Amino acid sequence: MLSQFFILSPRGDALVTKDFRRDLPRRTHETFYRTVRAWARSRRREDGEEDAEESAMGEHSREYSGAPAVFREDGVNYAHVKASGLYFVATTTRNASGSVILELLHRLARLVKDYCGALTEDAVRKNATLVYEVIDEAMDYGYAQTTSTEMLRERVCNEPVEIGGGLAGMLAAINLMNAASVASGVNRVSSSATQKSVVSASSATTRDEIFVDIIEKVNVTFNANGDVVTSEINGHIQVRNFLQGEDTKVKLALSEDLTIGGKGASAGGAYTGVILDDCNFHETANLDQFDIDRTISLRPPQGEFSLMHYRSADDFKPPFRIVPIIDESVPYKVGIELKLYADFNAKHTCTGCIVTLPIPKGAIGATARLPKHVTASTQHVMYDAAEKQIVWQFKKLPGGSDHECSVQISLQSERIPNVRREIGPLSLTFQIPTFSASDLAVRYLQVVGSSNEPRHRDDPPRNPHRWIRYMTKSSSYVVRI
Amino acid sequence: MPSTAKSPSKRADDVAELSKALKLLSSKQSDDDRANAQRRHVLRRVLNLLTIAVDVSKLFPDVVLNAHTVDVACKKLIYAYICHHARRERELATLAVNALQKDCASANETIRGLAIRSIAGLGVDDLIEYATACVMAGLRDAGGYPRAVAAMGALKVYDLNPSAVRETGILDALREMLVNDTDAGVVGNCLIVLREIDGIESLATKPIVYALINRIKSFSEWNQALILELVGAYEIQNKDETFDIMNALESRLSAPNSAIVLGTVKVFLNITLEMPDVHQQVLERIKAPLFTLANGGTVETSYAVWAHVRLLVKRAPILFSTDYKNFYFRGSDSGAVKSLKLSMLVAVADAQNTYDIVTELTEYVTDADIGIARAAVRAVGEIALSAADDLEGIVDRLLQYFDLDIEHVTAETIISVVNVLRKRPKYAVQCVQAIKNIDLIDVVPSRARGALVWMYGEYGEDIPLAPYFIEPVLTNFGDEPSANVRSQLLSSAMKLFFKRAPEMQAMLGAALLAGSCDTNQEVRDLASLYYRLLERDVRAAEKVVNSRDKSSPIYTFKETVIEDETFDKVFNEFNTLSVLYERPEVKFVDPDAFTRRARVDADEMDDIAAGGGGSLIDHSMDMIDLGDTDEEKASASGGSAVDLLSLLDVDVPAAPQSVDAPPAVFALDPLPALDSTSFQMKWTSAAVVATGLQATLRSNALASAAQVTQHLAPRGVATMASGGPSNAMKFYFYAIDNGNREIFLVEALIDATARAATFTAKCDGRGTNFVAFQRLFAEALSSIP
Repeated sequence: MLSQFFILSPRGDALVTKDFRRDLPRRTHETFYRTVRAWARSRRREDGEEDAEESAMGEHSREYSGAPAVFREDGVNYAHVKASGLYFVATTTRNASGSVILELLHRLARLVKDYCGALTEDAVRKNATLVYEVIDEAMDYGYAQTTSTEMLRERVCNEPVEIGGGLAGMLAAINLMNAASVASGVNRVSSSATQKSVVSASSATTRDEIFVDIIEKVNVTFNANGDVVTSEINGHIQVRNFLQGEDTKVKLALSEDLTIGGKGASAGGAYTGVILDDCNFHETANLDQFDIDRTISLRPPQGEFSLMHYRSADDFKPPFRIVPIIDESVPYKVGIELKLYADFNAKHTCTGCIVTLPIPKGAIGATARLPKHVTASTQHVMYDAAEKQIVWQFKKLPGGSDHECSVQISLQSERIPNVRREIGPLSLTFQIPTFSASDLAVRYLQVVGSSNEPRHRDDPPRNPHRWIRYMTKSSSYVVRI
Repeated sequence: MPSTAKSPSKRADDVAELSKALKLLSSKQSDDDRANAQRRHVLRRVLNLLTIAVDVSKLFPDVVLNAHTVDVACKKLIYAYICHHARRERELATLAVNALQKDCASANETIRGLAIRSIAGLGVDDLIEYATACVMAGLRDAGGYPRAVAAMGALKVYDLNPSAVRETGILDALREMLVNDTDAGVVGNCLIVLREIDGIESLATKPIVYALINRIKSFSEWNQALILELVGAYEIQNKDETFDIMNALESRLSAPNSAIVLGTVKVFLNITLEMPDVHQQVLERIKAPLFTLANGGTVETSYAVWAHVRLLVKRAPILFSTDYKNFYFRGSDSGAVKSLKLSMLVAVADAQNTYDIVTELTEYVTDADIGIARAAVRAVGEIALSAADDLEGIVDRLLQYFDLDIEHVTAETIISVVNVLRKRPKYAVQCVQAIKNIDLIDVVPSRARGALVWMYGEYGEDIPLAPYFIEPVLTNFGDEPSANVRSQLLSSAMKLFFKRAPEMQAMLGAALLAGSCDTNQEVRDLASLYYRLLERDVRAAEKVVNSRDKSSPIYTFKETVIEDETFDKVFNEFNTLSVLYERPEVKFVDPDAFTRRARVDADEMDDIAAGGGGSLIDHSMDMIDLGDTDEEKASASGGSAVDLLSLLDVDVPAAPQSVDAPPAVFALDPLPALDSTSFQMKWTSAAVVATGLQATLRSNALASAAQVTQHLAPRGVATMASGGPSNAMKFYFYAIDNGNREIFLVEALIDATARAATFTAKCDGRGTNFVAFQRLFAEALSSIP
């Protein structure tokens, strides 16, 4: 049960404030923002007397940086989620379920995005009336009522203000795209398709289409010997549905050789096919046929939702390997030769791969260079003195290729005793469109059912646009040295 | 589009213009499309002004005049406006009721629902009859939407006036609908309302629980979570029931919503508590979905899931010992999640996986986040303490952290090493070897300093430089900020003295002298104890300080971090905030939050004064006496200088009150901050109370409460609530002592015509400056111009 709900801008301005229960002071969002900003200091107060005397000692006083999603300050429980830089905040006086509140806040953020077309400060400000209307219908007296985008459409009357026009709108759109590609790494096919409001999507001008994205986040940690310490794929199938017609049904067929639950797999044959450890499905998914032919049928809700989440810790082949060779033979210097192998099929091309290598805190500086034959337009390496790290960037990186880079670090002393401990770990961020690390694939996507207009036999067969896209991206890709 | 740059006068013009437009539109037909479009436009502008905090309350009559429209969008805007202002403009709210009542009978289902929601949400006590009537009618509505809204409305009206609802048949109707209504949304709201009013236990009966479980899939996710909570409160009668419930809810474990999965987990764990085998199978079964949610969800939801996994891991570490790799950090983890993972890695460490875990933890010691780096060292230290025999490798690993030569890592490692040594003295040789070149001057955090000083004293014979490391600190004894470190310095200096007398003698004398004048009482006591020991008998003194057999552990460590009782309580509160905070509900939830009361208004404060506050009045007088004696004591002890010589002749003097806190100059925080919830809590809990205090008002022109509050605010006395006619104004004030942060609360009755004020003051704390505050407050009242 929520007492209050706020949407705050990245600078802490309250864009939307909703007081459901009137049992807390009105300006709690200010306390919230202050606490989040100064998390380190405020935490120590509750930490008990044990460390109380260290509180005046600057950075030693912080437990960890970044406020947790749920915390308590001045007797008020705050829960928050961050979406596209905006804070969605709830307060409660009860010992409610943290998960319920956090899931609810995410859902509200999704609703605001679906209705405004984009989740930016500008979009929320301009559509304040619409946002309030949506919240009023989605929540009552602090409890969730209707949170499905589709069912809310019956009750929501306001039209969204398009944020496309004007310089501010363009800037907002650019910000959003940056935020989307940096934060979530999802490569949007066309911004006009994904930034439209579901409200305007119902009008005749928009296309009858559905996007199905298989997005896999790869987590791999290599140790200094190049062995894999941990590896896991966290995937989900994300759907953005703009199909027209009330009772449109969709049938989605996944790889036939898919096995779920790891252990059952080895019975049929050794390591063939796609093996998932666990998965869960959206409420609307009908799984009657899933165990037989791996098809999911559903009546997809409007807007964006995750159809399926899955996890696979199976020994998949990590898409990248990096081999660092360290040379400590020259005094006052450490040389590192980095070799990067793209271990995936040549038909895929990685976009936006970045390798970062932190250098020792005590180093004076560093230089890095690429082999002579490399043209500056394809890759680039630089030393970032402020962050003390080497940044090696690729515009495009085709599968099957390998690349080199040599780094020279200058030291203050002749040697650093534990130089390996002080360098690294290397981290990679990347996204590989068209590729799924787990090999999970969509065999086909069928749209069945009628559109809005009554259909006659003479009408041309309905042919909505169906987009199936794959994307593998890094979540945590770490190579220790 | 609202612009924040507009000047106030421009805004006033805006409001006047909108008023004109609304008046014009009010004469238009209700179903005139063009008029409605214009209405929407104008109303939207009104609400936009409202959201940027412009006062648009003047428009209330104009807005209500437009309430006859049949356009749903307009209705919503009008209702939003009315509900916002009804609380402030009670007389005007009466105006709106007529229109709302009419809409409750509208042919349009949406409008009926909206009208019920608005009338129930008005929050005006005078109109409660209308509200209950509309809610009652709404519950019998043919449409699902009005029924659901009416159910929720019942709760709103109940919160305003419980007896008014109990007099009607509303609650019975809700109870009937909870089992029989066909619309899942309506049933969900009935559950919400009855749970709040009747409590969850009275609902957890077999018929209700079974009826809800059987159709659980038809409910929204949020209502499913509520139902699962209800099932969690249901006491099963036999084993068959356990399996029936588990079968029915099994599919909920693969929901993508973490709230549902955790709710289901709670049910499964609770109903199998009496069946250990099944309970263990349940734990195995829930791992996969929990890890999927924790690793695949959003940053925020996964934090909550990890917190629950931590609870389960600590409860049954063995079951998770092979899953330890799931607790390794990911680059994408937040600090909060990393912190959770560290405690889980410590919990699951056993003979098989300890080597891997410590290797992994060693990687985190160089984490860029200093807090995490320190926590990682601490984790290795904890594993070293709890591990069985074969831990030699761990201690070596711990000692290697000194080679990293990172300040905060060194400090944390010292603390861990000392803890290990205390429990396992057999590692003394290698630990002393590693630590012997660390100079106290390079270590900043006081806990690490204390630990290092302890090492110097305990193993001073093997640390050649020990006397020289502590010399600069001992000679500037008073500069050491931490009292604990100062105590430890004295003890270590004593121990070292018996080991290396020639180097230590002068230092020890100076330190004991400084210690005997210390501001901290414990340090003073310790210094005089050592001084007297040495004076009486040096040999005996040596026996006292260096009597320990170094091969035996000093103390044993508790194996669990949380006390068992607390832990069980938290487990019982699975899937609540308790798990995230790692403390049971009683420690952080204000029990008054459940006494259903809205934001502090003047009239509501009357209830408190009449109810909870009343019982305190009897004790008030001796409470004040207590405060006075305390003050006297403090000042008396402040005067008695403690000198070493006088102590020598006396046996054991009565512990004097601390002298390091000379009676501070009393001042109030110029900008005190206190929310109404804390005010209520503190008002009922405050121990120091003074009632029936009087003040005379010099002013004979006092007409409004605002005059009083404005006069008091610059004096550091803030107003929580005020109201009443001028011959019986009632106020609630609060103030905060700038020195010791004690909070003063005041309830004052002012009769402006009789120029008299009576007030009750309370203090949340020891009441050191309570009398001074009363004086200040009375003077402030009397000086009102």
